[in-house]
Amino acid sequence: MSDEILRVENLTTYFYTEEGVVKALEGVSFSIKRGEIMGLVGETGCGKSVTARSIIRLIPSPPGKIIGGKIIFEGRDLLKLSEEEMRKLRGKEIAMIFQDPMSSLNPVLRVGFQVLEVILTHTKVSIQGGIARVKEMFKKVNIPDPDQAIERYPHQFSGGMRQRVMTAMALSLSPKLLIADEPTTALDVSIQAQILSLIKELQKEFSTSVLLISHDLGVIATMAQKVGVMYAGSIVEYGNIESIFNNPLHPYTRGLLGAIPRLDEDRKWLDVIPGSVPNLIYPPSGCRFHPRCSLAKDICKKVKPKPIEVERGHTVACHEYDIKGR
Amino acid sequence: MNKRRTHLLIIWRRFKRNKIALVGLFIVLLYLFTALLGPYIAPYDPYKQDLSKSFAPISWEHPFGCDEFGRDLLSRIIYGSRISFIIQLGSIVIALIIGIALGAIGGYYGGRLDEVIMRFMDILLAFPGMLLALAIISILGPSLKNLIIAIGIYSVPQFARITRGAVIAIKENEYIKAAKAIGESDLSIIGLYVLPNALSPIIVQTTLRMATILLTAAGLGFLGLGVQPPTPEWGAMLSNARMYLRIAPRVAVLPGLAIMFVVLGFNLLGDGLQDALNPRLKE
Amino acid sequence: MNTILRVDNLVKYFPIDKGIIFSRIVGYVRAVDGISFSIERGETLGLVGESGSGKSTTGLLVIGLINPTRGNIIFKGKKLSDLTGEELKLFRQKAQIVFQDPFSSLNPRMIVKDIVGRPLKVHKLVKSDKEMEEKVLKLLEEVGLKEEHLSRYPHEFSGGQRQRIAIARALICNPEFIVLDEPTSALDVSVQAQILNLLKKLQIDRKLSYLFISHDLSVIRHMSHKVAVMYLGKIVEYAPKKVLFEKPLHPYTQALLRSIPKPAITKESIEEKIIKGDVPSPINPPPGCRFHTRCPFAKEICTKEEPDLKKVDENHLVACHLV
Repeated sequence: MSDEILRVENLTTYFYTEEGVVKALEGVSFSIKRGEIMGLVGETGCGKSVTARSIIRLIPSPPGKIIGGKIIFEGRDLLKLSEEEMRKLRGKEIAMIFQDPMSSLNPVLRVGFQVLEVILTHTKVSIQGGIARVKEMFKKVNIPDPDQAIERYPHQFSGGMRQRVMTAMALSLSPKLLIADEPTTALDVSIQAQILSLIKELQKEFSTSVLLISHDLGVIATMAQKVGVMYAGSIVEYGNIESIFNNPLHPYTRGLLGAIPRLDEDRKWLDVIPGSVPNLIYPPSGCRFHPRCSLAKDICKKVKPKPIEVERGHTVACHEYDIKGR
Repeated sequence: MNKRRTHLLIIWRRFKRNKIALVGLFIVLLYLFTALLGPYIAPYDPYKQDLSKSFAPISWEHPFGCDEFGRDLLSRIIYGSRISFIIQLGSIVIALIIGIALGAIGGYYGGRLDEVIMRFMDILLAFPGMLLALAIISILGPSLKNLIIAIGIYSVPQFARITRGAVIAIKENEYIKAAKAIGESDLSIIGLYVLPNALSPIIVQTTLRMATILLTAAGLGFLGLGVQPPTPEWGAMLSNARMYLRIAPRVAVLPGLAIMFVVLGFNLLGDGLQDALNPRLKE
Repeated sequence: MNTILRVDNLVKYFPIDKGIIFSRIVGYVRAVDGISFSIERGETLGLVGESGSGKSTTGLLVIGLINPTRGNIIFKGKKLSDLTGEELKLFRQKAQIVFQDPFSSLNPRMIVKDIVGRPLKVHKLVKSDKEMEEKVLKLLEEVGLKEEHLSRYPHEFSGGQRQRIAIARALICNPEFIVLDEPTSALDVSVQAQILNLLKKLQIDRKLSYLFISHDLSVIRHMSHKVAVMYLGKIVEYAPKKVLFEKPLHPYTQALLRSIPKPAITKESIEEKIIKGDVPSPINPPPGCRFHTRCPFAKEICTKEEPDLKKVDENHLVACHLV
């Protein structure tokens, strides 16, 4: 258990909007070990971003509210902490990188200053010491000419470089957990590998655990050790990378893998998951995937399936495995 | 599951939340009601003089009392709203037609044409306050028609600017490129694709402008350059009543209050519309 | 007449000007710097490249939405620049485009019936509103939408549905050629699969030619018959699909293929996928071969002389000194 740095139990987050209550997360549970990279994958609206923001408690409230569950980080339940205590954690123990670095960097402040600010807020170093650390981080993330670079503004950097600045900022205090929310989605393919490799390298150096969120199964397969597949607010399949990709169990996971065009083979038609993602204000009863599932049975419409461990390190929430799994 | 939610309904809900804006709406509706139904709700003929009732005080027969010529003040104020409304309507139509046309052409085509139009608008805007309207009136002579023309022209630059700004922003959208790709003519693009999407800022500007127009008309009326007596225009009424401030201040105060409330109403309504139509601006 | 589109030495430079009052031109963005290709009837040419490659600009040029600086675009044997007003109108029926962003390519103030039906009115292909509605309805059904969608506004639809509307709009005048500019890049994987299947089916049913622009190599592989790889305004490799993916010759193509993380358990590590360096700016491309700054095999000649697109095999062209 002390090997675990984060354990999320039954996390439930709703958004109370004008149009109704969006049941964004419904009982999400997973855990991350020390030094592990865990991937959270799913399509739009599955709740992966909401999960990330719930953990770091950046859910705008109103209209959002974490209404249940536990988020146990190094033995403490984050949901029981005050905002003051959370602030001490953010940046120092848990850091986050976002998808679009341009919108998370302040365009009117020099990048060096922004990273320095994070360091000075959480540690008692002198300004000189802080600046030295900033330069050191810039070097670590391979930003050329750090002495010059710290003086520049975000718009003077390319997308890839900005993401490096974000990474430097996030890792400057050697956080225990890094949450990376689609860190390379806005970047060119040729730059993507650089940033992902950087994250992997730094993760190894600092023994940081990473929660890597992406819609790209390729990124997850290459980076993560463990993955949770999310659909409409819950994790439908969860396990180590090899099991999930070599033996996908949940119909949604299979559908997803079948829908992706491959780089190394030719098919005439792609596999299609019929229908579309449900409206989370009026989610389907029972298993939220049942309206689109070719294997849907009566019980699927009534009862939400609980996760079942089908093989070691591989759980799936599907009634198809209810009888077989046990 | 109802995904069908009209745009208008969403906007109305947002608008409703702003209580102050609702007050503005109420005032404006009251004003419009008064202006449109004037002759039916005014208790007396606003032109009928009765010197025996000169400066008659507030009473049940004359809720606002009478003015210096014994005319019922309430009726004059009610008719005054009609005059103000006619001026507003006339001016705004002129301003909208010319302003939107110029702004749309300048914004859409850009280049030299745009520069020329904008410089011209700048010249008009360079006139401080209502000097421009004043200048036009002095050239044309004071009358209702000329007042409308003067204030209309004076209001053109704002609409040209707002329309141009909206057109320039909208032009960049892909649906404009798509329209070109299907072979739409420039006129169709401006009329069917650009302007319908520029409505929000234009509507807001129109509402706010109504307030300015009223104020300008009252101001010119006050200076004697608007409609001529005995027509009951609020600004002119205000001006005439100056002499009698000691004797019967209400003869000045009441038209003044009328102006103030209606202007306030349009401003509040305009602000409310601004927030309801562009919710992101507030954030 | 089997060649629907031919492009010869197409060039597009965008001037950059500075100065608030008196602006002067300080340089050019060399978005497209001399490319040539052709597309046959019923065929898809995949145009792949990253940001700054010029692929989107190529799409806009080929459809006549922007004018080339130099070079020829020849559609069904006629030069685009030679088309008269009437002929241009006909071109707009025969050649269409679907844009990337389903959220901004549809007029928010028009209902679906009009969005899809306008081209019919513009080209006077229908005599009445009713006729237009009938044609629109048929097309909506073909792309997987329903009658009740006719009177709705774009904001009432999902991204995938909006792309279907955009596709219907492109098809209404029975075109022969469609530019698809990253049509599924903004969509979820499962929605993408639906749209790609739809596009393939339409191509087969209607014998359409596509210029399919994307940065996603797996989508390009799935959709194309032949592929052109673009880098900083130039085509660096041009080959039939199978050849390009199985025997890529240009270092950039090879690097690009290697850099893509595959959704499967492979022995490839992320470090192997790196292409070093940043994408250079199209304002000041590197001298010689534009890829030399990031090429693991760059030699001295690569820094001085720009390689021409040479034939290495039947239908396979590569622009590289080392091949």
